[in-house]
Amino acid sequence: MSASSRVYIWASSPPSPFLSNLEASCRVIAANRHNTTGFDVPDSVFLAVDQATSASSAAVAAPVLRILFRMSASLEADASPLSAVVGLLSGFVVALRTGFPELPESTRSYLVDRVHARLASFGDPHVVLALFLNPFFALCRHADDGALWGTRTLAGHRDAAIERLAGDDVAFRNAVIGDLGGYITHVDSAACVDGSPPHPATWWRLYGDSWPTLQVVATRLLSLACSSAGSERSFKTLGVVLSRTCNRTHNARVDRQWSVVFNSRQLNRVNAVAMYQRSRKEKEVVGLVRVAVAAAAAGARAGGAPAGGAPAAEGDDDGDDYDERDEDRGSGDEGGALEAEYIEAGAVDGEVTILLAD
Amino acid sequence: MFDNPRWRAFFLNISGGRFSGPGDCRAVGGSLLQSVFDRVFAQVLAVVAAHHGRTLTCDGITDANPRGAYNVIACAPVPFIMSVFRLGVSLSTAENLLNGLVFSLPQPLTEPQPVSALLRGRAIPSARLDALLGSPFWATVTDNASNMVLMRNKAVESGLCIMAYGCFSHVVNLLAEDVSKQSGLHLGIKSAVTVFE
Repeated sequence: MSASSRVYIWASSPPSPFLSNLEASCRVIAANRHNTTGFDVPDSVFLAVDQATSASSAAVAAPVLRILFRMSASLEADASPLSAVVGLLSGFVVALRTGFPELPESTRSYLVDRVHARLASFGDPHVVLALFLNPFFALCRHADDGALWGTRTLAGHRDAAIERLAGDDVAFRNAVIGDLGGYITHVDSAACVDGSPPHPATWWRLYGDSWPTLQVVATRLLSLACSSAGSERSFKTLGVVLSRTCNRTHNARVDRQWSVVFNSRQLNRVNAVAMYQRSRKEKEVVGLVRVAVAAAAAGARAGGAPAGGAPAAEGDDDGDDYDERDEDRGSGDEGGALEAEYIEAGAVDGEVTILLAD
Repeated sequence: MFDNPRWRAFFLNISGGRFSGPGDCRAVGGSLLQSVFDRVFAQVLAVVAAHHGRTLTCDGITDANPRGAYNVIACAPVPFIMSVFRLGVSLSTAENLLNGLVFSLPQPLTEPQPVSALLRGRAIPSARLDALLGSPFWATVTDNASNMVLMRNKAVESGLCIMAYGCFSHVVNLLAEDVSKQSGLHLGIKSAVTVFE
């Protein structure tokens, strides 16, 4: 890789491995300086690898990157509902607005703008509609301050999704809007998502009979995948079937072997939705939003500015250590909601608890 | 000694067309693989066909040879490999990718789903809902390379799916890059990579 090449941090790579390698970088450069046959290191590079500077940069970025790492792990689970995308991102925006005091205000504003712009660039209005259909993320709806996500607010994206779904069919559009209003009224008035709620698609199958038109849409919309992690994971299997030491197999045989090995394994996990458990990251994000909403309400009552707490810096650093230098990556874990939950179970302390303490 | 047309014809004859001599040993045993593939794929098709709200994803890789291959995955919501296609010397344009994807899909998945079975007898008066439920796939998800973005938008236009969006795991990755750039961490990592390369 040349110096001008793009350097990527994959979100599931916390900065700790970088920090642990930093000392080695400094030693190499110092030894090189005293070596008459050493290579040239520009001063700018020397300054950038300077341990104190990089360490302080990493310390500032670490809490934010750690949250992004957990979000990525949650979204890569097979049964992760589509609603998790905007739910997690809106919780992240709330966290940026009310926490991370070590980050300058300008940086936080910039990152909030980037979140909005990224979702607008790569997303689809239906992704936002999915947020409205997940009762677990009702608080994230409430925390929405009407900010523009691209060219529209979240409510604007929701309405655009309904328009797209309905097309020219006015009766269908009215039925969806009527059902959506009834559903939101029900969810906002009832504590129907306390405890450990099921997968939102399951929730709609169990409790959505009162809104029949929306139920048909919601059960399908919430079952959609929010990442292409499945595609990426399958490449790991290809690496087993066709390797550098076994690379003369015909394409047709490679494809069949690849398909058989991967699909046989997946057939054992077809009930991913039934066994779905909400990842701890999602619970933490909702906890974050709950704290922010409560703080804003308290601030409004006291006539002061809303207060918030920074997300805890504690957590495991056992993330997947892979750089995303091209598109041909494999996933660090074999995925699935359960696997994602196991990863989360390794964390040291509940961050929500720490947040509440803050 | 065996590397000549007469011996190859002999080997092909006695092996039922699966082995032609030196350099072709990997074709032996193919009949068993085919039967296993057929059995597993029939189960996969049954699972995917029974799931409503399917997602289609597609991604490319350069294999060990190195040649490009694209997998076509149907998420129900557990991902299954539906097909693999290669573009060979053709450019990986959006048109070529979409054609490769559509032609490689098994036919049962490209046909509209029977709507009456999906509604379980409920009377929902909507022609539009019929069209939505009949769509072979509800969403196409790819990474955010420009040709993939164009391809997934064309998939919506062609009626293969209702909506298309980018992989949000990649989006979170881009956000992590934004964070690292803002904090100065990006410069440190880039410099470290420069030194060690």
